[in-house]
Amino acid sequence: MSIDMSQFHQVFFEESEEHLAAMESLLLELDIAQPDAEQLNAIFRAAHSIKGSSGTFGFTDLAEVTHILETLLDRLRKHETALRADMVDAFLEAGDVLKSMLAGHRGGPAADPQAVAAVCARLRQMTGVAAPEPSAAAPAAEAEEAGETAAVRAYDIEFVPTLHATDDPAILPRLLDELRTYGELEVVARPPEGSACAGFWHLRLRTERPQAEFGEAVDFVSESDAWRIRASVDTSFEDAGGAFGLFDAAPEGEDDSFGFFTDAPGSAPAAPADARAGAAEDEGYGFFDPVQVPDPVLPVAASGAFAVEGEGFGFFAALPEPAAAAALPVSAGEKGEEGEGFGFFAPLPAAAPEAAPEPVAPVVPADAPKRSARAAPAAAGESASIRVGVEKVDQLINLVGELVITQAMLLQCAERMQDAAPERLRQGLTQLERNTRDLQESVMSIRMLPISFVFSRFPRVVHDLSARLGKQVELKLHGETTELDKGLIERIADPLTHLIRNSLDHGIESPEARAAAGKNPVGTITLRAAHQGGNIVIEVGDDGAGLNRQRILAKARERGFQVNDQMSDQEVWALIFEAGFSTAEQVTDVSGRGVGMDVVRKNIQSMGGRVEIESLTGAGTRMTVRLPLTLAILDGMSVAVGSQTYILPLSSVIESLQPLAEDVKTLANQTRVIRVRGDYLPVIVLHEIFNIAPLAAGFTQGIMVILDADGTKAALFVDALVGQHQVVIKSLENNYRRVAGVSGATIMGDGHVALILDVPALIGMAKTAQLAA
Amino acid sequence: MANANQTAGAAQEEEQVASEYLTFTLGDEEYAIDILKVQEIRGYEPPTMIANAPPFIKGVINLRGTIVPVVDMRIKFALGKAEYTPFTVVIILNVGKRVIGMVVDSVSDVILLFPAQIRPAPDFSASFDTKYILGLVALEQRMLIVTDIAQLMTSRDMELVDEAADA
Repeated sequence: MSIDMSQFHQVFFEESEEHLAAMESLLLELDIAQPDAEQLNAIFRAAHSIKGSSGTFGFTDLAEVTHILETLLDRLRKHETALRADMVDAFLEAGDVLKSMLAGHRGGPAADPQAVAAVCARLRQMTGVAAPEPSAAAPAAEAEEAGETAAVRAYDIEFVPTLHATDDPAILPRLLDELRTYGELEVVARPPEGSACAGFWHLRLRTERPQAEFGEAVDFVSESDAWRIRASVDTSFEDAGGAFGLFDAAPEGEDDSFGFFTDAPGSAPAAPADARAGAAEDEGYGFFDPVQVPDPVLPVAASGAFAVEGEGFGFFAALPEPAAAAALPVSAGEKGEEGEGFGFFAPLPAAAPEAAPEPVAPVVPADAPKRSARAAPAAAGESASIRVGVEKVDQLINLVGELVITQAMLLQCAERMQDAAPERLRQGLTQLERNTRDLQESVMSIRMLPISFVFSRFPRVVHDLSARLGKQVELKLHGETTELDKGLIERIADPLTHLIRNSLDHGIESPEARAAAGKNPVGTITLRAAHQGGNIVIEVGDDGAGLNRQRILAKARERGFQVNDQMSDQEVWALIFEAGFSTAEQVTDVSGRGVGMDVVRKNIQSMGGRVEIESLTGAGTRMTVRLPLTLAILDGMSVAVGSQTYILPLSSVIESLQPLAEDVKTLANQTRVIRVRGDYLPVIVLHEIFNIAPLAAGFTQGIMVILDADGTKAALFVDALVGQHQVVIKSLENNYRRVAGVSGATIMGDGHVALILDVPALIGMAKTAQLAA
Repeated sequence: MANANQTAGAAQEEEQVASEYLTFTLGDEEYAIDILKVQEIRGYEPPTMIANAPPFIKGVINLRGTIVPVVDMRIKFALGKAEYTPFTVVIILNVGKRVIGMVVDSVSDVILLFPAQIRPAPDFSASFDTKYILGLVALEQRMLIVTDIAQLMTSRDMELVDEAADA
């Protein structure tokens, strides 16, 4: 049986991304002076999980970087090293590198190898610098190895040096010297003298120091994947614990899902067989957690699995309960026969302090590797959830939409029957109406995600940017649990990032300027999300300098915009959304190129939203983004023209009124205007634009709907207002083409199609029609 | 050689494979279209008008949640009278990932045609209605006009698509 590993890659990528995101947010929350042990543990676990799974799936480059990252994190969480701010930066950088490497594996551009090497070097150097004195390390190592009798252990070191290492004759002797400083070194096998040290080396080192300390040195000179360190408690077991590559000598109870094979005192007697099998299989990765309960069966099964496995990957986690251990050999044996099978043995999270202990025996059949791989993060405290394709959810939403329409149709039929409808039919229909409404609500909520998905990236943006700009900024988040449609979540991220960057760059002053103005040198950016009616409102506020009216006006004149001093503040502020407008005194790489704010507004408008600015000089600026809750449903007002019904998006309707004959005037006998509370608004006559025979004979018999699109107001003349509905937006372009003045279609309660009007386009059409007239 | 013979044989065999065609009438003319392009046939219901569309585009209907445009071929080809009775039928076509409704006078039957039966149409000028004709079939006294309906519906002439296939 052969299993295609690539089918699990997608899961791996998604999980790794989640782990990276979790790591980043945790890093940003860390209090550098007094890091919370739990947080450090969580960061370590995230790195550890990535390392484990990337090793499993053969992404050795990822595993290498995470290994180095993990080594330093491990020191931190064991309080062997104090946390410093530059470490956090290095960790964040490493996270970025890992992200780019992941993207490379997913088919994107490959990660820059120089950046990878630079981060590795930086982390290694920090690990090295942070390395405690030997005297301090020894007791620490001893403490870790509680339960073991001998602190001095023998390690078999096997490696093939890189070409680079063999080029320089001094490198290998230096390695040997270095290893001798750790303890007693014996050269078991080495290449012939004449071959310039190239070839297979086999060293044996007896030391009391943990393997992680000298493992790096061996890794440095060896071909990647071509080195191995094996350890045993005593020389009599010196072959025990054969593990390939990634190896953790610290055998304290690993609190993570992916265990690494450390030496297991209980299983030691049987382990040599395993080790030899491992040695024979150069592509076998074995990750074992310590087995605390001596169980003679397990090692046999494990070694059996390894002996037969060609490219097998075996995960054996800690088995604190004999019962679970007893069940294990069966599946392990199966795997052994399969040759290329996978055995994922889900960890018992008993050692994980924060995870709820699972009562279920964690033995998962070998044919369900995906499930057990999934179980790992679940054990790490994630709430129960399933991953479903968006298209499936969308299909569900569409189907429910159909159901709602059908239900409305039935209800209408029953109403038409009036008293003729049997009582039970009417009752059933009422029940159906309630059920479909509930169903629709719950289905819609599947697509809803808390806005924290977007907000969570901003602490990092602010952290990086404020450091680069030399500003001190605190980011405050409010209303992160506010939910909105997934489609909007994805599309709002970029505009919001830009607004925040803008606030940071233009809004918040330098600490000196703030101090001079009598403000707290630390600026504040507030990000707030809330529901307001059928909208979601997101505010980006800062307590910076505020917008400068004079400067904006001056700049606008310079850029050739039509401005005058009588413009209202609101109009002046709106200028910054014009294309090619930027008031930054100097162009930085953050902002100031004059692209951006116009794109921000365009993006938000394309989502059916709008953005407003409030600003007070010296006190700050607040940008408010208003968005509809979802892209699929629209609050609409239906209007009748002739025999047709059209839907107007409620967001663009301000009011409606029945015009008096004297309110409607003409300009140059072409443009008609209507006076609404002193203002003259252009009149758009819908039946003229759409060439429909109207029912209303004159303006006084119809209704004027005052519309607002992008700040332009106009009055739309229709025959009558019909009602207000929530409509499901359907595409007209799937089977037809774009229609001028129409943004989409929807299906009304009676099953008929109604077209949704595109208000900005209508206003534009009215303008051109009048020009042509 | 053997290979060449085989392919020649296969081609001949292919010639013998008959396809099913749906025939419908427009005025006095009888048309045949590939039945695999037909999704369903349903009765006519008044569609929702689309503003400023050409007269043969009757509008859009709701086909179980999908918005489907409806064209009246009688108006397009100026054949017969565009009357809508309870017997007026709409052929729902599935062409080029699009669903389009087509109003015709009546649907006659489904027939089996061998490629050899389809005779080339006389070469008129490249006028609209002959451009999409695959050929003519004589069936007793009837003459069937075999039409490439996919080509026709996605063409610029029909004004149904933004990016016409023959643009």
